[in-house]
Amino acid sequence: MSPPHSTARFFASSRALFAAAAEAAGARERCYQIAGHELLVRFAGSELVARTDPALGAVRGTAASPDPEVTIEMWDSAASGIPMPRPPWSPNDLKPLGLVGPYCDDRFHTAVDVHTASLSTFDAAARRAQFWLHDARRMAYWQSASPLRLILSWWANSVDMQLTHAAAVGSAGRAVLLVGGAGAGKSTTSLACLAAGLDFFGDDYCLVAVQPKPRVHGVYATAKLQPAALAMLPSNIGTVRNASRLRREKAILDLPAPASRRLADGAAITAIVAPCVTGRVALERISAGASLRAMAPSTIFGLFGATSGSLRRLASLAATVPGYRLELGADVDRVVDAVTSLVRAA
Amino acid sequence: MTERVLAIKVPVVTHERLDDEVIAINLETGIYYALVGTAADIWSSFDPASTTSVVADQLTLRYGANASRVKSDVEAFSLRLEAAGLLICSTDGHREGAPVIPRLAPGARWETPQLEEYRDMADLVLLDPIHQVDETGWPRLPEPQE
Repeated sequence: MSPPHSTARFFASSRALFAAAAEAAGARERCYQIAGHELLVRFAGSELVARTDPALGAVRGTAASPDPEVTIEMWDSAASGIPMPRPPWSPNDLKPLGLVGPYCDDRFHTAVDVHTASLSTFDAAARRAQFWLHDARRMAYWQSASPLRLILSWWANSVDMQLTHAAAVGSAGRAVLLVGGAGAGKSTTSLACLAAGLDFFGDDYCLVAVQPKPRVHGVYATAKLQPAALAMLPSNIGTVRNASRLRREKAILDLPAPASRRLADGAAITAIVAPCVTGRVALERISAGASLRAMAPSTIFGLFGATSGSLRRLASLAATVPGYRLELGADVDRVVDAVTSLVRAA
Repeated sequence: MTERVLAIKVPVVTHERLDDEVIAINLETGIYYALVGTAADIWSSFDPASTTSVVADQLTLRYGANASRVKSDVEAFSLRLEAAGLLICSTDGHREGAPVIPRLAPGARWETPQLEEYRDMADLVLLDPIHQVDETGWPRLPEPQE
């Protein structure tokens, strides 16, 4: 176990490394407005901007405030030539999901993502975060589609919101959350609703506020789809950015600006919907517990365990908003009708 | 012999109760559980830490049920929760406070508790971070995409 006092030292030395990386590769900045909060992202070099900024395009702000809500530093060793020193923790300090045990507490969050070979840190008191990987050119495709997920999750928890594994669609300021693990049908359903004219707030991860009233905010103007599902949707729904790699990757769609026009505004949550593919279209009420069971595990595990208040926040949402099970069949129009009826039911 | 005091294994296990259903998530194994009705009541009775005797006595009163049957069910179920890594033997002994259990629904009867187990997230924790780092101490790079 590393001594606790080394956490602050590690965070301070990481900031110095970013400063050196930005000096070497060239500093870039982007400002984003998410759920009314201003986030400043500072990049070392242009490659990381190219890899991550398009997904955040719908929440991009016009100018950085002198006092952003949080500042996130992103850098890679390949572009900057600055190596990341050996970590101060022992491999035995890594928990099963990748959290670095001795470097996590109520203030500091540290995680090593072995799936993407990246490091994410967040200092809630200083409102500063950092993301590092060896080489931005080798960023995982899903990380590029929804960048900074872990850091945004920690930050959201610090302001009593929850990044949630859910799609969200709606209209007229109201929206339903589509929840469930991979393959449940969240992306196909939400994109079918977008194609039918509903507002789109996300197909995979959305930001949820439970208090004072449940509300969803979009973050990413992208969607991830099984390539076979592309045939169920209009060809102009979005631009497939990885068309040459669909044999081994999900399709990543960049959604055009009109499609994500309401994404940053957010909407009141009127229902939690757990889709599942059965071959016929049907809708039925489920208990709050069943809603929570559909929503929480993939959110918690997908966010490395999230934080101590995450499950409580999701339970509070499930207790407040009615839950439904939506059976999915090939008749996409009926699926869209079912979702639309729930948006309008409140 | 002093009876063992059992406690929910926090923070490895995160849990919430909604009405008569508990969801408990084991962050180390990737397995999550649903506990409904009597199972949820047994779970809530170990928050704060308690003994199976105390829990059985409380639930016998709550349900107006046969004491020996409740005691037998509570003992068997708590052993199962321990085996799943959800409960641990507490070294702190009893803790302050009383369990928070919602009012019993009209007509509810004592039934043998069930533990519903879900393993669809377990793959996420099967990749062992400790053995995925290279000699620099950082994760190995994924294969190039292009």
